[in-house]
Order: sequence, then structure tokens, then C-alpha cells
Amino acid sequence: MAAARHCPSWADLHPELVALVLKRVPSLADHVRLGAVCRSWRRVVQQEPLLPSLPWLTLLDGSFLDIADGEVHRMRVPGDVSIHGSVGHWLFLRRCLSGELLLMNHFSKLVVRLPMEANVSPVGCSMLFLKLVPLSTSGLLPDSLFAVLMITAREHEITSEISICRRRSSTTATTFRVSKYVNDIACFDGKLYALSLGELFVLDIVSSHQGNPRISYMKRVAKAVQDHRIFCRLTEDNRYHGNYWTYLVKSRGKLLHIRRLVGWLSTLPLQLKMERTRTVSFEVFELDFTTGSRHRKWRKLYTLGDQALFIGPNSKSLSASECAAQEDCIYFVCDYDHENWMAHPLRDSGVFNMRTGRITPLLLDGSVVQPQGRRGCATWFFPAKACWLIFPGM
Amino acid sequence: MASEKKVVFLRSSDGEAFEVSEEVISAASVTIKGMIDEESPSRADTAATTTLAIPNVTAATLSRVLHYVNKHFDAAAVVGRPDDYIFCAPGDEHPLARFDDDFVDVDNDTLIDLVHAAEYLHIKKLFDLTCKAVADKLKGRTIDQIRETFGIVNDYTVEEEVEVYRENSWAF
Repeated sequence: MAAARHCPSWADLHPELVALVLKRVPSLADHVRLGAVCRSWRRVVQQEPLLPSLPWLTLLDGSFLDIADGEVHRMRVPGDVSIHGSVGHWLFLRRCLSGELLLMNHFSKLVVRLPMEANVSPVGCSMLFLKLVPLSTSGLLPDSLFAVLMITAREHEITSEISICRRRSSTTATTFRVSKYVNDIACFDGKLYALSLGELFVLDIVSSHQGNPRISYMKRVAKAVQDHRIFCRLTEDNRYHGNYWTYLVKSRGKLLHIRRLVGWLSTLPLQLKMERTRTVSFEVFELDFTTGSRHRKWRKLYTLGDQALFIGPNSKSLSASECAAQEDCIYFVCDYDHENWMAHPLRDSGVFNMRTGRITPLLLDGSVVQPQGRRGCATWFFPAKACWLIFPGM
Repeated sequence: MASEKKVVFLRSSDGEAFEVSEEVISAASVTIKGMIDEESPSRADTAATTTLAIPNVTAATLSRVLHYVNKHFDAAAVVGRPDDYIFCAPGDEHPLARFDDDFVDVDNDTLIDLVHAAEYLHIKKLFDLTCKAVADKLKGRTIDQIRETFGIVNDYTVEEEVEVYRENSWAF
């Protein structure tokens, strides 16, 4: 009986059906595994784009944590680098000894050096923060421009520098030393914006195909939000102190300024203060483009709508429903304290709910491998499928 | 006559006929609605009941499909029938969530038959449900588990397979 019955095989499953099933499998790892099952499935997997999904966290020892299911993926990353973020499938790396900046394709392992060696002199400086921002919507194609924000400290002096580079350019990048302390930069509507102590600046970039791209000037376009305090006391008895970390994020046609209030126990010894610092709350402001171009205002937002924000060294906004994130929530990781490599990479991480003001853990199951011997902070990595599975003849 | 509910018969590939309300099956299946609409002009002045051939679906699968269709698309059945409540647990998103879970809790061959039937009959809700059930069976599985579960023969050459593993070793 059973043999006589018409029995369609799974391998013969119509390509469109496999594609429709794939749309319901969000994880990149699952896509890769399905593509390896047989030839006909591979063809479908290669054509089917990966839906936006929850990002991974780089755990600094070359492993990546998928926050959707807690799965840990191990990938090869050179031994002497720290990871400072990602753009598409490119990881942004810095060699610990030479200070050289690199881009590495996460999947093909292709490494591209940034033309910045001259600007990065780690002698006597400690690197506080590094961020790479593509200046075009197409990401990091050859010849595309990007900006790098570098914040360094020498003794008590903190310096912010913004470099403009062109990928695959043999010339050295031009560096703009900012007289102010810039916390974050973001590209919005083709312009580069910088946030400095709550004030917003626009940077004018001059670029021709011949000469080096450079920043010609920096102009303030919005004052700081009201009630701007860098340092505050969180409790009456002065036992808890607080500080704001600020971020610039492009979110569905809006330029957002995120204020993250972190607090620590003032009685702790200095070396423990950083490690025990915890996020207390978040505030979100939207830049109002309807007022005059030099006096724009920040408008407080009480909801993110369908968006979910991922805050850290490379912040991003995604549609919550598309990537199966919690709506109206801010996912955050620790992005200060880069040099403290003994600390846990998931310290001060979590999910802040804009509606309830409550913070829940990033992973419900806290059992994560403790990475060893890497410096830096956990960063968000947004999986993309563009460059994996390059098989000759298939 | 007008108040009487019209029915149609669906004949499976192995020759068994199933009775179903025309209104219910038209709401559920785009394919069958199309067939009925085509038949209508010739049917208007005759009392004969229509029998539609469904050559791609076996009796076993068709009876399952109709069970689903009657649960989901028969407005009179969905509301207020006491036995529905046994499927409805507190916190369920919709009253038939449990029914759906049980419905796709079947062996792989039955599931693939349902996917094909839902696609052929163009019943979107059932197609979504069965595709999601297939996806759930694939998530987090190793390549060997997937091949074994779904009876897929590995058609890569040894060299190709080595290359597949080398490039994507992180995922395996």
C-alpha cells in the first residue's frame, strides 16, 4: 500500500515551496545548513534573501552569539585584533600593537587595510572609542567614502578625531581634529552629523576623485536638549552617581539622539566603578527638521513605534516586527570600558522597554561562554547573506 | 430552495468523494472557488449536485484538509460550538491555535502532502500553517539530521562537500 502511494520527496519539493519555507526560518546559520543539504536546496538558499533578524553579538574571542536563540557561532578572527563594530558583513578591527585599522569580510575572510596608519599612534594614548560610518547608502563598496571617529585619551586629555577615507585608496586619509569632545557620529540624508555634549553639528565634506576627501568645516545645527547634565547624583544621600552616554541613530527617516543614563556606587574603588556601572534608563529625542537650519530642536519621543533600537559601538534601528524583536524596546550592550578585558562581555547589557521603563536581560538564559584574552566591548553584528557560499562550479 | 445550503462533492485522486458546503469551501480555497464559478452558468438551471475532480490530492489528505477547512471557514462552526473550547487554552492567540498545533503534529510525509494540497487548492491560511510547521522542523538541525528526517539524498561530490564545510564551518 505504502509503496503504491504517490510519495513526493522532500528533495523534489518545488523550489518556490522551499523558498516559502525559508522565509519562515530567520537564522543565517539555518540558511547555511539548509543550503548544504543538497544541490537543489542550495540553489534556492542562494537566491533567497535573508530576512532582517535579531543581530549577533561579537564576543571578542572570535565567537558570535545569536541573541535570538543563544546559539554561539565560532568564526576565525585574527588573534591580535580587537573588534570595534561591523558594517554589513565587514568587521571593523584594530590591531592591538600597531594600531592599524582593518576591515575583514566575516565570511570570506578577505581583509582590507584602511589608509589610516599614519593617524593611529597608540604610543602613550589609550583608545576609548572607535566607530566607522559609511557615507553612502550602498555601504562599503570599493571607492566608497566612510568616516572614522576615534576618541583617545592621553593622561587626562581626551581627543576626538574624525577621519574621512575612501576604500581602496592608496592615499592617506585626512583627519579632522575636533576641538570638542565628540561622542558619536552618524550619516543621515547624505550628511555627516556629530554629537558633542548633546549639541549637534553637521560636518561639511569636500570630496573629489583626484584629491583626498576632507572635512572643511563643522557647524552647530542644534543646541543640547534641556536638562542637560553630564554628571548627576541619582540618590539623595549621594551614594549613587550617574552619567549620560549619548548616541546618534538613524531610524526610519528620523535622526535620533539617545541618552543613556548609567549609574554607579560612588563608594566603590575606582577600578570597580567602571565594571559595576549599570544602565538605569534611556531617553529618546528626535531632531525636528521643521525649524530653522541653524536652530533645530530636539523633540522628546515616548514611543519608537514599530522600531527596535540596538545601542552600542555601532547602533542601528530595525523594524521590530521584521526582525522579531520586542517592539518599542532598546537593546543595549556595554560600549564603554574598552580596555577592561577581564570583565564579562555581557555586563551592563539588556533590553529597555520604552513603555514600562523596565530593563530585562538580553538573554533569558545567562549561560554564555566566557571569552578569554580579547580586549574590547561586545558589539552588534547584523548578519547579511551577501558574501557567503562562494563555490566554484555550483 | 434558496434557504437550503448548497453542497459540492470533491473527488480525490483515488476516487473517494467528499461532501462540503459550497460557501465554506469557496471561502477557503481560491482554486475550488474558481472551479465552481466556471461551472455556475451550466449549473444554474439544474438541480444536480456538482462533483469536482481534485486529481492532485489523495483521499487521506483531502479529508484532513476538509477537517481544517470546516474548523476555520465555517462561521457557524467556529463560534459557539462547545467542543471548540477544548482546543482553546487561556492565553491562546486565537481559539483555534491548539487545533492548528495538533493539526500539523503529523509525520513528515503527511505534512508534505498537506503543503502540496494547500498550495494546489490555494488555501492561504493552511499553506502558511504547514510551511511554518516545516520551518520549525528545520530550525537548529544539523545537515545529517535534516537529510535523515526528510529522506534527502546527499548529491554533492566529496570535493564539493569538503568545500561546503570549509567555507561555512562556523554554522555546522
